[in-house]
Amino acid sequence: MLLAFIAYPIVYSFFLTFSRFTIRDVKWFAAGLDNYRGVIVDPDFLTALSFTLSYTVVWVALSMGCALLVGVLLQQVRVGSTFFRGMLFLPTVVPVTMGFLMFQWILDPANGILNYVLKEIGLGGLALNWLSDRGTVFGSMVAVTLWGFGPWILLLAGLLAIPKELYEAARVDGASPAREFLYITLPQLRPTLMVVTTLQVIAGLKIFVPIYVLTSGGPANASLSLYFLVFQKINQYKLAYATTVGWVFTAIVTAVAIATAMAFRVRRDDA
Amino acid sequence: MKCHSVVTWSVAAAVGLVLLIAGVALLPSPPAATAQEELSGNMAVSVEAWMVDKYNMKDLIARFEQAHPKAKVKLLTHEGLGAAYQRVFLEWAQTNKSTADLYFGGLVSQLTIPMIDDLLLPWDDMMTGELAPDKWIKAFLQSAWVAGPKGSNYPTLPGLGETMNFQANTDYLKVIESTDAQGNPIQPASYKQIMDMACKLAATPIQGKKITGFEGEYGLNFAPDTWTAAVVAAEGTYLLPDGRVNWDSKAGREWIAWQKEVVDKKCGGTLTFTDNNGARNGQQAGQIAVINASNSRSTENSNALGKKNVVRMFGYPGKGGTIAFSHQIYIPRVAANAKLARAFAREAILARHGQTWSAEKFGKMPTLWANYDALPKDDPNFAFVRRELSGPSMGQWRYRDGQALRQAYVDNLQKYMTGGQTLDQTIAALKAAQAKLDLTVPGKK
Repeated sequence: MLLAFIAYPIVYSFFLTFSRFTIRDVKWFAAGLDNYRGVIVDPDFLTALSFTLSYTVVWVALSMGCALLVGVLLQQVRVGSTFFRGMLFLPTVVPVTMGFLMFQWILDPANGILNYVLKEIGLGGLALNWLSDRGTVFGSMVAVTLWGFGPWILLLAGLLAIPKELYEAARVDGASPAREFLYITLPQLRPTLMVVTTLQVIAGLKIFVPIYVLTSGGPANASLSLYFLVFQKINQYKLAYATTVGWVFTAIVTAVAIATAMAFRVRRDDA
Repeated sequence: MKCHSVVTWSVAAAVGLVLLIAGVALLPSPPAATAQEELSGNMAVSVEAWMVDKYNMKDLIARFEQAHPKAKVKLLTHEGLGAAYQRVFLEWAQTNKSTADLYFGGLVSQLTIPMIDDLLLPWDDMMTGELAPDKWIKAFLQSAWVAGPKGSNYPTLPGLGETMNFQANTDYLKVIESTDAQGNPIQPASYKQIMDMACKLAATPIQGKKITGFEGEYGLNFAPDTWTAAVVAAEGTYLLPDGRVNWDSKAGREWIAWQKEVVDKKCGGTLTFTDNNGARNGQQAGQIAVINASNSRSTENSNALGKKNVVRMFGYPGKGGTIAFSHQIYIPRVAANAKLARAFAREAILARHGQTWSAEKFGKMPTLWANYDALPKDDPNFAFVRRELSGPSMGQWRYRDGQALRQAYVDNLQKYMTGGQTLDQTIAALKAAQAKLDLTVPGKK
């Protein structure tokens, strides 16, 4: 089973990257390194690589920061904590495509509720083409995916698992909230942060669904991700090329994920 | 003796004649009855998901099964994406099997590869009688025609047709006095006139609200087709004599530049940069006055606005041509039950409750004149398309790498419209992209 469903497709697709592919047949190893050369000089690939890496850096930093902040605040909440935690859980239970379609409506420049509210409160100058302007699409994608793919629940679970006794002891010793955060929360949360950051980095690099639903990679390729580029090339019937992009993409994801995990490990060793 | 002999022979001849007549009457059933019996067995028809409703597919299947009780038709669906088609083509070519016997949906630009690789069963021997070439609307049929050897000129048949033009909310046009006595949009003679119309609509509050004057098609769905339509209308063809796309076309440059200008002047929106359905949805919401898409939007959007024919069409400035494209019907050569598939396709094409019904409900046009003639004669939108189809028209480009060329056009158009490159750079980029692509077309090798 393992051979049929995992090993065979992996080996097949890897060999395909060195081959010429048509619907009728595959000329194995006839392309040599041509597909890889084609990918590296392809402006679309470079555009997609640039978007994917920038997006991942900004989104991971923001999503981790926001989730940590909200989690720490919720850690302190005594009244209505179930309600707030339920709210955080909402993006997880809403079907992801439906959620992004909702944002399409919210961000619609003519009929969307965001621009409507901005105009109503006298901020009409800020009512922009959120998704179809090259200057705003990046920020819009980051914001929308903060909602859809933020690590809210995972970090909150990690925070709630920290023994309360540690905080109580610190307070007895007169520790300020900032010192509690630095010397209790962060060290205790480190294993969770390592796993969640790695998962977030991988998710950021693999961004696809919101692009498929909201922008199709546009405008003018301003939101073209590597994963979406693979999809585009498959739709153009360029399977060998798409597979090559896929393998380069996999190599990047693997390298970045390992680097992220290593960074945390080094820090832990230092500590 | 002679008399007796004559009588005897006469009686014998009469008896012989009676026996002959009786014998003929008792002969096995005629071919018609045989054909009826032969329509039996199982087949699967795979339909592009949106076409299930818009081609009344469930009803067509029910009627077919009722007329042929021994035949069973299984309905499958597939997506309109290249990825979905690639899976289907691979199945045919590499396994010699097909999940479905008959397919509905897919534009010729998406079906170029199976046409080139000869994976489709020609329809040519069915093109007689009610389906003879002159019974079809020429503009739609020619988009499916292939210059192959005799007997393989029709690897696909057009199922539902569409043309590219402008669709305007005439309630809004009346406010700026841009309709004629019949309530139809006044045909603009130039793009400047369309610009003026869009800007006037954008500047005039209509029904107490500010609306978008014009929304073009700047995404993969239609953008390349609006360019080709504009060029065909002005110059008759978008191709060079050697078959490549003529990106240097004067009308093509003018069209690209005009689209940027209408947006820069804030008379038009850019929803379709990222949302293929943005223009349609906006007009259905009453937020956009004029869009530039397929004719079907007129019927569909009028229905959505709850007012019959409130959205009407006008054509591209020029000599009156456009792009006519159609959603194809085809049978893979490896189909298990091609005979039943052909019979079903024939009935579906001829059926009024397929093509004519679809036109009235969704504006997707019949591809047979008989079905077109059954449409209401006084309907302004059907009359407009009829006039349009009688003029010069062309189909979509059909290159092996045609999909990549469509994507290159969209990328460069959007880059130009958002200020990322000049018009000259856009044209140069399109020519460079085209030079790298495989422009093989279906037909004789």
